[in-house]
Amino acid sequence: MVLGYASVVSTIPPLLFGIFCKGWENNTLKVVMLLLITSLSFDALSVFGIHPETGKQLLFNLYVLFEFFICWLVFIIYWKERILLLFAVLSSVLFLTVFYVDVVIPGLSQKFSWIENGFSAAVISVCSLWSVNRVLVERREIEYHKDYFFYVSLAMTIYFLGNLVIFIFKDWIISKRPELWVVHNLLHIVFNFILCVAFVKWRKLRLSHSSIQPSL
Amino acid sequence: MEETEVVSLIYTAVFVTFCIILFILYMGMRNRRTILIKEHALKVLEHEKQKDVLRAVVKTEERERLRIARDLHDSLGPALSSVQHILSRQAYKRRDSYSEELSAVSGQLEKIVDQFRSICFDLYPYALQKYGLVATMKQFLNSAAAAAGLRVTVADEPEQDWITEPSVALQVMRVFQEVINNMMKHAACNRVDLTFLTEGEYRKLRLLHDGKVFSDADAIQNAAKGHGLSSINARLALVNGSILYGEANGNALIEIKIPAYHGKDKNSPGRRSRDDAPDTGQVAGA
Repeated sequence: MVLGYASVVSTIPPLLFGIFCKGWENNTLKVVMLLLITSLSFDALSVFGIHPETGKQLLFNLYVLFEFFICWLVFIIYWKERILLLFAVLSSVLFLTVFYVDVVIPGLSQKFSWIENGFSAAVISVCSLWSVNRVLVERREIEYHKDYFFYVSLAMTIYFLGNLVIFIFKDWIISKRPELWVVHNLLHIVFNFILCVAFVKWRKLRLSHSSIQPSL
Repeated sequence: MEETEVVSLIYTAVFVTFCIILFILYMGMRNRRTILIKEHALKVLEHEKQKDVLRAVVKTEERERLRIARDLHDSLGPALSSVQHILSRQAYKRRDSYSEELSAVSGQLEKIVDQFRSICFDLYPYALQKYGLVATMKQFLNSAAAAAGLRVTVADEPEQDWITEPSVALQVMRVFQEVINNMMKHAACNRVDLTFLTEGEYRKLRLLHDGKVFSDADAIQNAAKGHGLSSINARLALVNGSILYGEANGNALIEIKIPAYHGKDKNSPGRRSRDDAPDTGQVAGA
């Protein structure tokens, strides 16, 4: 229970770091901040302002939808590559099909869609893993531990890949062994912590290269 | 599947996932390191190539300078001197109205011969072969200082084998000439102290003057502007030397540092550039 609340609250520090480090000056981090705001809003709604039975399913399914597109946006804005855009479009079409078949047709608030969530986590995991590898191998002009995008990609990799199995077994976990959800909460806290580091790294980079355009 | 089996499956899957993340991170870092090492090796190779090209250019330039200096010195030099000698003798012998004019022409010719010698020295310092680097540097500094009215002191004068490699000695001499010329032009000084130092495997040439201080930052700023500073840097790079500009005890400091090569290290630039030296015969006090 405590860890659940801690997981919800853990979204606030990276947001504050984002504001303090002027994350909005960077297009990629602007989208990351949008992801944090969305996450916080949905969490707040799920805790305080929604029908406990059906509302959570609706919120969860909609959040996965938003999360999927926002995460893609982060990678597309940062890497600015056509091939990535093509993959994003293809996976989005597949995702929307899954969403329609598994969520919209049965009713938005009927169930937690593990297919939607699993698909989203798998796609974002692959993309973030690719991104981590690319930062390590290709962005050699800067040390990787000083690169804010390394941390953004790492945070996403740890969160989505780590949660992949949890999301797939979500229905079962929530109904039979809710204590296993602690893994998700822990990973969510780690995700937010790494994002804090990313904002700090961005600030350092911005200060050291104040003449460079911030929309890296 | 039993409940406990599902739980252990989930835990195992999460564990395996983290192993995968760690493995991919490790591989990424390893690849990065490998690429960085390769890039560094490539850069070193490229740098060496550039040095070789520069060395070849300098070698050709020095060879050409030597040829021109030798031709001028051996043909035009004696001819001018002999004409000047004849004229001065005639001026002395004749007691008519032409005597004064002949004497004036002879004086002019003497100045021309001096200038001609100076040009020959700039083209190729012949004294380097005859008297060695230290003596040639002193001679050059003294004549430059005499022309500009400067006071010169030389301290810790070393043995003649201070730098034995002919090509290194030539490059050091060229750098020295350029530094002194720059000092005369821009420093507005009245006194120059030259010190020869030997520090371990390095030879140092320390120049202190009471003129305008030129810092390392100025050198970087002006390197692109003038040919002189870039020539100094290029020539020092050839002999793995360096130059330092700064201030010491209220005086402007210029310090040239060169590795000492005495034929011990086969890979030293001095050894390598022995083949590159123009055909000068015995040089620098050897």
